[in-house]
Amino acid sequence: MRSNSASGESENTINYKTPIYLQLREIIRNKIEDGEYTPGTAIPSENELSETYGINRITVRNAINALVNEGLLRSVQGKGVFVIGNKAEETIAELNSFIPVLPKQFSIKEQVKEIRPAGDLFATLFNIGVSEPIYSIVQIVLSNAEPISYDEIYIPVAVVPQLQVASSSVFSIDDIFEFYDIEVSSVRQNLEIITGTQKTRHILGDVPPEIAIMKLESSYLDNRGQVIEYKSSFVRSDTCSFKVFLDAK
Amino acid sequence: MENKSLMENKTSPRTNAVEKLENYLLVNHLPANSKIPSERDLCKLWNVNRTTLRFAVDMLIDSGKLYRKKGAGTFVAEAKLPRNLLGVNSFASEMRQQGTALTTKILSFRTLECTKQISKKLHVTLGNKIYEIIRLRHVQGQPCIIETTYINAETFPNFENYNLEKDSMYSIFTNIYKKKIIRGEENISVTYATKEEAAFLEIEPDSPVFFATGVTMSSENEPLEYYKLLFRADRFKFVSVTHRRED
Repeated sequence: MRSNSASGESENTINYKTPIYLQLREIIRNKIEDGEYTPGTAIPSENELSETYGINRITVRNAINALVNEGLLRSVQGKGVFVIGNKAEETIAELNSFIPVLPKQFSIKEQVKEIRPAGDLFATLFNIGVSEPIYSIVQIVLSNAEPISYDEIYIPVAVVPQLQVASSSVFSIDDIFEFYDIEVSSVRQNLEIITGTQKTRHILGDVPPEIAIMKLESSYLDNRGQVIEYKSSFVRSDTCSFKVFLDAK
Repeated sequence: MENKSLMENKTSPRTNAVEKLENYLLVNHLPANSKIPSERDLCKLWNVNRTTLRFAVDMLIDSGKLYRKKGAGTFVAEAKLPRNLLGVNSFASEMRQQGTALTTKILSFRTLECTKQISKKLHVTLGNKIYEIIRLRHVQGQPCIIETTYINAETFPNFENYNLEKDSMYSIFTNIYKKKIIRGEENISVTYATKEEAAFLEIEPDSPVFFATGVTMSSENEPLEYYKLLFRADRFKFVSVTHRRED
């Protein structure tokens, strides 16, 4: 329902003919559709919105809640309210064959996100120049403050130049790819048991040598067969296993 | 460009050396068991110091890509065989497709009364008859997998009449019993080989091995087999490739 589009006024001002929260809901919705609020970024705070439009915070909250319920926004405690794009029909997560079986309660902590030159190895993997920039992200999956797995993620900057603004501590890389319509058409994964370096064992909570580490490598490819994301996950085998579904082909 | 020099500060010499070495193995397609150039030569080639290079070599040894032989040098590790998760395929036919030599030896064939755990998986009433078949698989002459399978004796009567060392279990299911496996679910974790298992697999006791358990289902949604597989971790990796469905 576009409440004020017939009035001839700008769609981004408030009038007094329809409930105010419904009008604000339409304003925010339009800004998302027009691309002013981009997926993966936070919209202005309740205070800012209430000041901009001269309406009280309860009304602002009602408008936001309506959009959260519609699945257009996601509210993250202490971080703000973030824009979610249109969800792809088949999510990237569904393309992953190895489904980690994790404890019920877990959280993901981002350790480092930096831009670095590709270097020899990633130049080969991504088929780009040695000095082209790539994102390097390290994140740790924790349960009750105990590390379960640790991921190293690499993505050429050219694939998602916007990644800096999108908060990857709120959204997964999968979400971000979906927001920016970056289509992953295939995923290659392999799972092996490794000894693991001292550093890996240390990051995973000083894993004793008698406990094995699993390494899950995933390459995400676009429709031209180019690798656009490479991820290595190191998993403590005593706290995590994997599930796979098999279909007759 | 200032931006560029900033970026270059971000990879440490050690990371750099690890990635250079990994890339060297990747682009040169060195066959298994071939010797890599000496540490001294690699230091010269990449202009890194000995300690840094040693770190990189150790790193790739720990991740299973290289191995060191005392007094002889550093070598490329044998590539692990893929256990493909593309779909439910009999292991034998999958190995054949890959052109891998596979032999099977029956370690044990028993009739059991269904236990609680197996009853949950196969939906067989407690105490009913089930077959337990334990097989050892040799791949390229090396013992690699211990495969334990449970099937309902009512669904597969007289299963002992068939030659499970020659024919694949799935082909017997399909051709003799007219039961076709259409889907399955598998759980992959790590366990440690017992003394007996280690002896069969010719590895050290307590070595970590892949432990995969699963149930496969027929088109009528009836569970056909419950299996437990032990894979040698030094010879196998699990592999999958998935494509987005075409609309």
